[in-house]
Amino acid sequence: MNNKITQVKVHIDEALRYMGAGQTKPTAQIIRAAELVEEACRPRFTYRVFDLDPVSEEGRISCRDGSSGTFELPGKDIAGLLRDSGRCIIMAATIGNEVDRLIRRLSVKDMADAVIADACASSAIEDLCDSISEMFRRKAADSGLFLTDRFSPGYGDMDISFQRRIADLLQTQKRIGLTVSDSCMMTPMKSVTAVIGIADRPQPKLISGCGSCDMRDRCTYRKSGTTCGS
Amino acid sequence: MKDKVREILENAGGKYVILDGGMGTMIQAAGLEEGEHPETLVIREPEAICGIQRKYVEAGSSILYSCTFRANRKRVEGSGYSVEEIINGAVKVARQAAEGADHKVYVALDIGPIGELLEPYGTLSFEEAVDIFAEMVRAGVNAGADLIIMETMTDLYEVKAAVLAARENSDLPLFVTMSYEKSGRTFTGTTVESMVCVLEGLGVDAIGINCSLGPDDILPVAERLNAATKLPMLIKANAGLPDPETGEYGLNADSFVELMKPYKKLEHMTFTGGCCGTAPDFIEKLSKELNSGAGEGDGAAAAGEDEISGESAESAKAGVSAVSGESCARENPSVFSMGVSAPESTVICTPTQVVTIDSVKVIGERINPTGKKRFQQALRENDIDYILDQAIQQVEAGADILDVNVGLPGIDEPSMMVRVVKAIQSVVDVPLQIDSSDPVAVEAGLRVCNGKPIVNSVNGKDEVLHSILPIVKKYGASVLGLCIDEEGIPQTAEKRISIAEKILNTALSYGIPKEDLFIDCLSLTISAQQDQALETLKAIRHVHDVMGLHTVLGVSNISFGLPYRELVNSTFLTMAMANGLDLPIINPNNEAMMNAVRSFRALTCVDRDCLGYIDKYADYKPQAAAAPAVVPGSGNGSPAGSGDTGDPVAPGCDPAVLRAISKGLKADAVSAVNTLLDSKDELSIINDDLIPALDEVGKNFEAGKIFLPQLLNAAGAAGEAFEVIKKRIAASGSGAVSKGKIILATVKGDIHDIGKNIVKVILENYGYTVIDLGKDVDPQLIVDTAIREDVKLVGLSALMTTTLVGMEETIRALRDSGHDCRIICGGAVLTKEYALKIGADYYAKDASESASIAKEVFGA
Repeated sequence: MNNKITQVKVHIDEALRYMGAGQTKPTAQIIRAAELVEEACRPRFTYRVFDLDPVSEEGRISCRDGSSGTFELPGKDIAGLLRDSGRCIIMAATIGNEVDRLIRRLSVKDMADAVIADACASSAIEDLCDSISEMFRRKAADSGLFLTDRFSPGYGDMDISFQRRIADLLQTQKRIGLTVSDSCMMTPMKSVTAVIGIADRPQPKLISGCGSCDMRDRCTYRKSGTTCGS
Repeated sequence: MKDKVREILENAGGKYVILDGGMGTMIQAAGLEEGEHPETLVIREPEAICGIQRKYVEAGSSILYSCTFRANRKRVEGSGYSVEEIINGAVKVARQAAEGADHKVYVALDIGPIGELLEPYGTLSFEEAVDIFAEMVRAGVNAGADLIIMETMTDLYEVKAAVLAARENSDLPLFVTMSYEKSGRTFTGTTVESMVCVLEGLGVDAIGINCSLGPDDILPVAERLNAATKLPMLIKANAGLPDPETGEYGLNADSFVELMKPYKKLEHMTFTGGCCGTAPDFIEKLSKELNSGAGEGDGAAAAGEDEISGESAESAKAGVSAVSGESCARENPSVFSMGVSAPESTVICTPTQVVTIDSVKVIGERINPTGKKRFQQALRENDIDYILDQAIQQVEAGADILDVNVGLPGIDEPSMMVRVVKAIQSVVDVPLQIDSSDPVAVEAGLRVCNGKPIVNSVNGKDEVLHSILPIVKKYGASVLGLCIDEEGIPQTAEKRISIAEKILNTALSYGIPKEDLFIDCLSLTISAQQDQALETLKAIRHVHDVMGLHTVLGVSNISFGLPYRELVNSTFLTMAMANGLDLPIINPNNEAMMNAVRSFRALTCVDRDCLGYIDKYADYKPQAAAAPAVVPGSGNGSPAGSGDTGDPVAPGCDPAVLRAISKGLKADAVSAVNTLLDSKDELSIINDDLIPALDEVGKNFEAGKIFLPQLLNAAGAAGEAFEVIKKRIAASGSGAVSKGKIILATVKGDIHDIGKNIVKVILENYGYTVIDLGKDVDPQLIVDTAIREDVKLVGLSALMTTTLVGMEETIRALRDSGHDCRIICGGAVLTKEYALKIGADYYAKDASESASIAKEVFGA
């Protein structure tokens, strides 16, 4: 299979934004942290493709496949996103626990380095997800199909506990070493699970603004009452 | 237990023992829905499962894995059945499937990963993991399983928990297989060699690889395993890789079996079957291919059988030295010896790093409170970060192994040992040496140590030998033996050698292999007993070259009472290494000692082409006279961001301190405080200089002139300056300075502790004593600590909406306890309104604000 993504990149401007450091120029300290993070990344991902039932009268949508049976995707928002989709991709991605280890070590040595590395790692997992989406998009385009945005548990009204179900469905522990705890925390820390719809017509960019941003919980702009504007 | 393994092998009649194949695809093909609790199928659809397993028996399987892979309490919860019921049902079903077979069929309790990651990366504690596995093992024993097989494991720490649970609750044979990536590492980084090192020590009966890849991709990893182990080997490969869109695996039975053929060359190959995507026809063809034709399979299984009886160990030895990655050709006698009986190389490890003792390896001695006031203070105050910093510094200075000693009167040594071992292995990747005279602390440390450690130490006293060696054996560690006995320190080399012999014989009698014993011939002070240095060297040479044991030595005693001690120490170290010292216990931060080690490695061809030496000293320049002192870790000179707006001012504050702190210059902050200490007392410096400087930085942060990394750089510089003051105070014995005690904790269920750690750095640098309870902290521990230490301010952090309940629960527990304290909350998803609603006194939006709140609470 040519589903290989072996490299991820830290986008320093993005990492600076996560740190709340706005438009400042990257210093040697930041560039070094970004390099350490890129070296520590062990990108892995896995996915499965499911058929979708039509949206129900209650505004819900369900997936089905041979072994897992039929199961509902929680919330109305996802049903809205997938209304034109006949199938969906459920994916999980991680940059691995080497990065967690790096951040832990740095937080003993130097908290500033740890904070910078943490922001760089957030950028790295985002980069990995973007590369995966792009790969799916190209595959879909080959068959004249279109993708929706990526939608993760915790976005909108999709309960974060759906993360555990995705981990089971995709056997993420076995395939990519990703586990989900009782309180729905993923390890390795920098990991993402998501649903992407496959539709036969172009899909609008629905996800924008803070409501569906996966940084919204950590966003320093939002806390100070502004937005990043991206 | 050994008899059972022998019986299984004898039944195979010198052929490969055939296991079963995949269940998932078969369950699908049978039209069964796995649903959320596939492990309950054995109860819901016993006939169907039995039917599948019977097909495997008919295909030639002589060990059936019962469907208990996920039957642990975490996974079973909510299924309507207990662990006991499911395991009992699964073993019965498998037993039924075996009925009427034309060959003997054994039923295994199958144990897979719990499904959550263990600490330090996850929230599951090692002790809880042992407990979860123990429940499964007891159920398996009660259900009548013939053996236990652990499979698809990726975390060696979890495997250790499972193996201990199996050994402590059953005497069934135990096979362990892990899943590897092509790189030869599991997802958590465990290497094949570390797996062998740890599991052979823990005494498992067979070792292997399953799942994840097809036979072709596993082969190179299996070859490494074959070279490293002396145990029978087990391989269960997938039918290639699954297609994510169809879920189908790439290989059919014929191509699978074709790819399994090369495994016949691996001498330890003994047990084999198939994993995901394989079916009964795979197993039938595999069995025919491997076991048809006389002779072909014989070698393998026979080799396995020998290993079980403990008669053949030769092959494994060769494997172990191949692991080192260094030259294997080098014989290993001391430099000037005739090489009579060089020691075998010994492997100790972490899950991700193997240290092969086939040349000089440095044991760092700094994690030890003896004679170190600052370290003692850290232990008394539970300041684990200070200890971690010592660990990191030593590893960066070149230590290969770290000695860990936390014995201090008034300290609960076993529980401190557990805390420190867990903390150290979460930040550095070197094997540990558990150092204590208390057998309870030794066992506590060994139990939670991730990897294969060393025990420091035993000696020639019977009482010590018989209390420590059984523990060393149980946990598969290496052990130091000191040449002392009931009569004290012997004055001659001969007497020391005879004690070494006694220790060796006793260790062997407990089943500890010779190569796991390292002898310390003791260095005595030459200013008191000058003739003893040569006696020590004579003993080292004999123990190393004639007895064939590795040697270890604490070096620095030798120079006690003399001037210029490091000259004597480094010279003696060189002499000792030349006589066969393998493991010097030294301070790796001491340049002279490490210089001796590095040049010795270059001179004895260990450092091939002097690459390590050149790498270290390429930029060496002869020292100019009186170069300014440099503090380790001071290289962080450049502050982050663009808040560089010339030199700041703060009234009354020493300008040099202010400049250094606001720019985050660690070395400058240290030297500025050192200068101030000539004219001012410690407390005044904290109050008049350090805190105003931090306030100034905090103001700039609030005003958005600088950003979080710069704030933390400043705090880091202030931290170095505080360290100077703390050391001064610890040395004068005048008691610690503190503006008040604050508990910080990331609440139960949450492991995101970066925010809490940021707050900690800031508060500490304001002079508060922070009791850091860590992450995923039980509410009761917070309440108990607050009461015991009479803490007036408790800081709680939570990052996720799902863990805010933990915060609320903790606040309630604190209020219910009646303890008088203020509570401050913070965390990404928290708002001021919510914090106050759940009963907090304060909400802090960032670290800087938490410092202002602390000032308000403590009035300073």
